[in-house]
Amino acid sequence: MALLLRELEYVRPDSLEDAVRLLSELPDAGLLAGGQSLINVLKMRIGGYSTLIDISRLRELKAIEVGEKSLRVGAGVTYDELMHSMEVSLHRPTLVDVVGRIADPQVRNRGTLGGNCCYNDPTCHLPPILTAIGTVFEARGSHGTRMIPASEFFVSYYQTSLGPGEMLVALHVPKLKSRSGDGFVPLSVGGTDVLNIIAGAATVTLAEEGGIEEVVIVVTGASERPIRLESVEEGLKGTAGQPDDADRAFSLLDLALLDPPDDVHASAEYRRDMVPVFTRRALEQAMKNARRGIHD
Amino acid sequence: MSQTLTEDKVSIKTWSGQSIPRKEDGRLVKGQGRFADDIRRHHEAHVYLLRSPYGHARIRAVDVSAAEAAPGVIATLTGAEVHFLQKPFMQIAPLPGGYIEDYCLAVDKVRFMGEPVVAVLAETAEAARDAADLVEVDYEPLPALITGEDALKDDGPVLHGKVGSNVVWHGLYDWGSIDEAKRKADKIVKIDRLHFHRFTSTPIECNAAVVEYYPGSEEYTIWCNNTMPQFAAMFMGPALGIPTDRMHFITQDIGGSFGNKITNYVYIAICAILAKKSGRPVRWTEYRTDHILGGSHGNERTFLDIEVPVKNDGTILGIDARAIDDCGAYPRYEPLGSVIWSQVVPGAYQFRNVRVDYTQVVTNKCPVGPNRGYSRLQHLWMLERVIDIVAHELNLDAVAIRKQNYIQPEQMPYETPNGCVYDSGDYPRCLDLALDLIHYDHWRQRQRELSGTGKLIGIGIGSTLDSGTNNFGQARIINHDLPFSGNGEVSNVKLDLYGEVVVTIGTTPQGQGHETTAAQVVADLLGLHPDQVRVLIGHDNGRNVYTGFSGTYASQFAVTGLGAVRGAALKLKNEIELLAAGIFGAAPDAIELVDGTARVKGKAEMAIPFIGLANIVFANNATIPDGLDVSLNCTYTYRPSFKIPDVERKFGNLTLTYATQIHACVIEVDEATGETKILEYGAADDSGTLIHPQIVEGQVHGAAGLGIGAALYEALEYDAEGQMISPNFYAYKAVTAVDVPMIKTAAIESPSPFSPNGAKGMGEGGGAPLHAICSALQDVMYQRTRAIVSDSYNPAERVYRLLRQSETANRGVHVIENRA
Repeated sequence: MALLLRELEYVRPDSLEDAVRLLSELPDAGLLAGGQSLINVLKMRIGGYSTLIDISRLRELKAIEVGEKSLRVGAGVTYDELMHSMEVSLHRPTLVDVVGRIADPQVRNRGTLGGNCCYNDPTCHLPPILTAIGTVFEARGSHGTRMIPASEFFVSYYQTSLGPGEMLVALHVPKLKSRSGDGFVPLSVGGTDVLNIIAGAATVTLAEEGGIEEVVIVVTGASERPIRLESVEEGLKGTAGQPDDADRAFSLLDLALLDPPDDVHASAEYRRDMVPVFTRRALEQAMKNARRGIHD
Repeated sequence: MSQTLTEDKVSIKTWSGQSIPRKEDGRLVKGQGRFADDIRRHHEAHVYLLRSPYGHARIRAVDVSAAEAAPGVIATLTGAEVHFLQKPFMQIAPLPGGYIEDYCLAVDKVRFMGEPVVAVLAETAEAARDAADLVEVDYEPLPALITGEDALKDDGPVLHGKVGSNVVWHGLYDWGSIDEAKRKADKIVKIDRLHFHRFTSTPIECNAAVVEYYPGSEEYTIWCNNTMPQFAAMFMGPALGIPTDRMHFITQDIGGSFGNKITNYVYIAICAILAKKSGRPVRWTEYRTDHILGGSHGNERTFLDIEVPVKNDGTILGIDARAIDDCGAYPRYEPLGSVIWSQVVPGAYQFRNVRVDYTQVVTNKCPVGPNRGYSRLQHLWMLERVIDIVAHELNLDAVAIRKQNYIQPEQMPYETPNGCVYDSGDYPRCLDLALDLIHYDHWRQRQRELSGTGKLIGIGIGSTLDSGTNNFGQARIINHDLPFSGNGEVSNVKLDLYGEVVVTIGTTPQGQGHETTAAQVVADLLGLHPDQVRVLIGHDNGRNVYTGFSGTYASQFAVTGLGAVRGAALKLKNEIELLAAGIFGAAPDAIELVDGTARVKGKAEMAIPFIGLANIVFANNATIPDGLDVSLNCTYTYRPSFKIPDVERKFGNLTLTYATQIHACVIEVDEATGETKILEYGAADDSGTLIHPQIVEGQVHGAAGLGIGAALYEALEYDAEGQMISPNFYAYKAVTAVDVPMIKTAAIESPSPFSPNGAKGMGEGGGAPLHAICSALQDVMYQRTRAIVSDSYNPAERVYRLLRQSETANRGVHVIENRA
């Protein structure tokens, strides 16, 4: 109930190397990037650190680089910087759309991609879409660099697979392939999507003749982590992706996968009912985007 | 701010009625406002309030020794000390409800989650907060009482033992003859239960106070954002043993209140005790989470066993219902809401037989307080639900049934069944305007075209009244011994030493633009530009005029505030005319006031500027014309004409003016998810003669935004143990500008025959969006499951459930044919 920070130490290293070193050396240290979630958590005294390592000004975390198959986006890139990135607009436009829906300009000016992922709030926008598009997380610790696929990165509510002393430094986002499209459709509290009860995300790649070649469908808000609806994906592969195909595929949805929370925003039962609705809408959006590529 | 005197004077006749730039906006948009938290006092200390984590628990022991030993801590305050230092705050309810004991900190028991238990005073806010972690409180949790209906059960917990039950107040309201109406009716529509939910208006500025005690004069100076300071003084004085003239309240800019800040005297009392105890100026600024937990909530009300006798043609003959109002753990401003609803007994309608069995109860939730539309919106919502349900059950048109049952313009002024007098208005015309705004005919047609396609369109209407300038005599209906009646506000208008026109008022504006509208009124009377009129805002009972009613609440400034300003400006005008007449040897009625001068009509050379007049009276008074007794310092108290209501019959005129708010909306409901999207929103209002149309429109927008938020997004909810599950903005989705759709407005002006300027109080809005959105959702349900929209809060999940309610389920509505 009490919104003041406990007294703590604050350090601002000048290099990524120093930051990683401090993170493993200092006992009970936490990373401060945009602070849009962390500061609230600290003020509410739900969690605490004895030292904050400010990484918000580290240039090494700000780069967006275009590789052959993927983009390497620094973990310290803010939502606003991402929204205005030509590279991201060109190679994974859905991220620009999704990030543009987050909160308001004040939040987007400070909040970072890495912070959003490491906080892993089940109501956030990025974990489901990053999972769906197959993002790989680059973590650095005192023992070197480790690459973690999204399916292993998001572990549970507010938990990631980063180990002690390990820091997320970049996100490797696959470039959108031809005949492919992404979709993201949340059910939000209120008139704007500040906070998602359920979020569906999907990516599809169509075969030349228009049928579904590859598809990934992910949902958050239905379990402790973003989950893939693999049975539905299997049901869709090789079909034309018409409404009948989707009906059949979604009838294969494995309800046992779902273990949604029951809270002030929605009952578990309602969330369960909303899983097929929002994942299907995400799929439809992805299909539309993919087809647009074909026919244009 | 680009208007110039000459241009404007050519184009307009009076300043009143013009949307001139607001005088207060310059400083507010530049961040130069002065709010309670901007006050700084030398050697000030900071309060932190440790609050109850339980909804209901006995306090076995409190140990503050470690906290007191913590660095920077000056003092602590516990319930045990408060029990010694404070008498319980006055209760408005008669006995036995009046036995409730309310202290500024919990004594023996906590009765809601967030109730302050220990106050810590320290050199910094951080030190106070850290030390609070060292306080040890031993609680014995008790079963919590969460609903109004449960509060009336015999086997549940009793919150305030001495009362003997959880009832704060009970009264039977019975006007006309509902039994006879039921005999005459063709049908009786019965509705089992309607529930109006708990929400609040979320002022941007939370509660705040700085309190300083001067031992030499035993005076307390209280810089705060309380919006009804003399009400606060009435509670604090006897409780703390402070003569009320030793409590010097000062308010400045206030960042919204909506009534919510009226009851923050409880927190000011904590600061006052600590100021005396420590000898330090004491600062307290509430955190948002604390505001949501322990600030002030809106009343939650459940209506049971509603019976509506109707004729086959849709004529509604009356309403019979039980109401259970849940005021949270302590009544505070309550049970005044238990009578205030009766300002609008029949709403906009003609029926004359009404019986409401009204009970107010306590529960283990945050105490309620006045909240925009206070106590009337719950009742008006119920009436609008009834109208729509009757229309649909009888297969009547929702527009036609309203127009047929509305009080008609030619019936104005109209006396309601309980003796209230609706001053003026044209409800059918306002409804037509609202329907035009939303393209009603187009959407009705679209609705038919889309039938069966899966797209669900709903059209809704909310017709409400915004009653303003209340007669405090209605408090006697609650408690016959209360020595209150009438209403009033006071203003001082003077020429200052160099001829400046300065206006003071006892009000506490919090966004209503009092500086601007008061300046418009004075400018018109004294022949000035509004920029030449300085209006000093804020309540200051140590230095400024005030009445016991002074403040800003209950939609009345345009009547009481501007009535007082007008009266004082007229007195000053009269003095200026007398003085100028004496100087020029002319008759007073030959004097006119133009461009800051007083002159003899038709004689340009016989003119004296205000500075000259001020000089004569304040610095050169040997030259005052013989026999004149002028001060150029004029005070006027505006008093509306009210009588004391008949407390036995619960009958009398309870409010002076009735502004009309008729809203209409078109919504689309997503059948798969239950999400509601507003496609069109129109608000037609009639606030009588408009002083500043844009300020009125701004109030309409604000009230519409809050109502839309309440209808779709905002609910203050508790679990069965009394834990508040929406204590911050993460869980309580307060509406923001981006959630509010485009609102179209239209206004008509039916001047009030009872107010000094034809204006009506307005700003609360009567909860019209709640009524309109529920009405539109009902319109949707009747196309599907015929489920009844029985709750005022309809987030997507609830709408989803209603869309899936079994057609054979008990809908909670029954139409009984009258065999007689």
